[in-house]
This record gives sequence, C-alpha cells and structure tokens, in this order.
Amino acid sequence: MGRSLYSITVFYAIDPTIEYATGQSIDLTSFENIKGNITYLFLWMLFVWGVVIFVEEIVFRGWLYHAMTSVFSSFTYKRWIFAIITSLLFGLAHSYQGTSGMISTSLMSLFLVGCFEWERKTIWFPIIIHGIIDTVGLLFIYFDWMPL
Amino acid sequence: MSTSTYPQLWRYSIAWILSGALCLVSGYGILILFMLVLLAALTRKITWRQLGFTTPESWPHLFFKSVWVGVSIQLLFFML
Repeated sequence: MGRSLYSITVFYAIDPTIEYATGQSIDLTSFENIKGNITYLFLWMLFVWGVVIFVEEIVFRGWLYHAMTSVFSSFTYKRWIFAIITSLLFGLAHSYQGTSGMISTSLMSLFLVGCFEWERKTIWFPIIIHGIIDTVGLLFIYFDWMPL
Repeated sequence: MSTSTYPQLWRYSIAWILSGALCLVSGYGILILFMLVLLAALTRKITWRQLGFTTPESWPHLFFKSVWVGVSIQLLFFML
C-alpha cells in the first residue's frame, strides 16, 4: 500500500515538473488520428494488447532487467544498476515523444520494474499494468481529454 | 566474480551495446531485439522463467491488482 501511494504521488507531480524543467510538453502527436475515430482506436487497442505490451515487457523487464540480474547475480546493487540502465533504454526507445516524453517514460519504466519486483518477479503483472495504462491513455486521446 | 564469468561478461556487454543501438532506432529496433530474445528462448539459450514467465499465486488477484494500480496511475497522472 505504501509503495503504491508513493508511486501515485510521484506520477501525480512528475510530468508537469519535467515539462516545466525542459520547457517542452510531451509530444503525443503521433496518436492524433485516434481523436474521435473509433476505427483507429480499435486498431491501436489491438496493437497495444496484441503486440506492444508483450514486446516491450519481454524485452525491457524480462530480458534487459530480469535475465541480466540473474546472470550477474554476484554483482552488488545489480537491481538498481539494471533498473536504471533498462529505464534509460526504455526512455530512448520513446524518443518520438520528445525530451519530456523520454524522461517520463524512463520514470514509468522504473515504476514497472518496481511492479515486477513487487509481485514476486512475475512478468504478467507489469504486462497487464502496461496494457491498462496504455488503454486509459488511448481512451483519453479518443475522447480528446488529453492535450497532444 | 569468478574468472569463469568473464567470457559471459564480454558476451553480455555486446548484447547490451546491441540492445542500446537497437533502442536508438525506436520501434523497429525493439521489434528486432524482441525477435532475438524470442529466438534465444525458443532455442533454450535462455529460459522462460529467466524472462519472468512464472505462474502467479492467483490470477484473479493479479488481474484486479493490475487494473487498480494501472487505472490509478493513469487517472491521477491526467487529473493534474
């Protein structure tokens, strides 16, 4: 419970802080075609739940984080080191969202790594959370509730 | 770290550099990386368990917890 509250608090304030610090808003214009278009929303939902969440979670949380921490099990601070490197790469992979988006997705990755550790290292937990986060985001864009 | 792990370190360093380079090219790079990881898992170079595919204690509990955490994060994120 404490950990969830901490995570929620961080994300409540972190994005506006990032945008203020970088002077750039998160660039989500790539998703503009979803706005008010049910077909694009449906296609994006299929893509997110069928491809994105599995590909990203297996690569970043499964391979780059978990497999690496188990291979280098003798390293001190291995969890922190691999969590940070994995999250930086996750942010880099979202470079289309601009500088603020890269910082924000890196922090989201740290949160997903935390979720992975929280639920006794089962990848299904970050997979479902990732899907839910993307679904809510897509719905906000569809209803034009999120500035792009 | 024992000396026997040094070849592994060398091998995995290359894997990390490759991963970083592929992440730089965004979506397609990650897809290539995913294919490589999938190939490694299918040829048993890496186990599914190492990738985190373990059975949770309770599927309904995991699902509801995921929904609760995911929706809370995204809603509070948006509300500001």
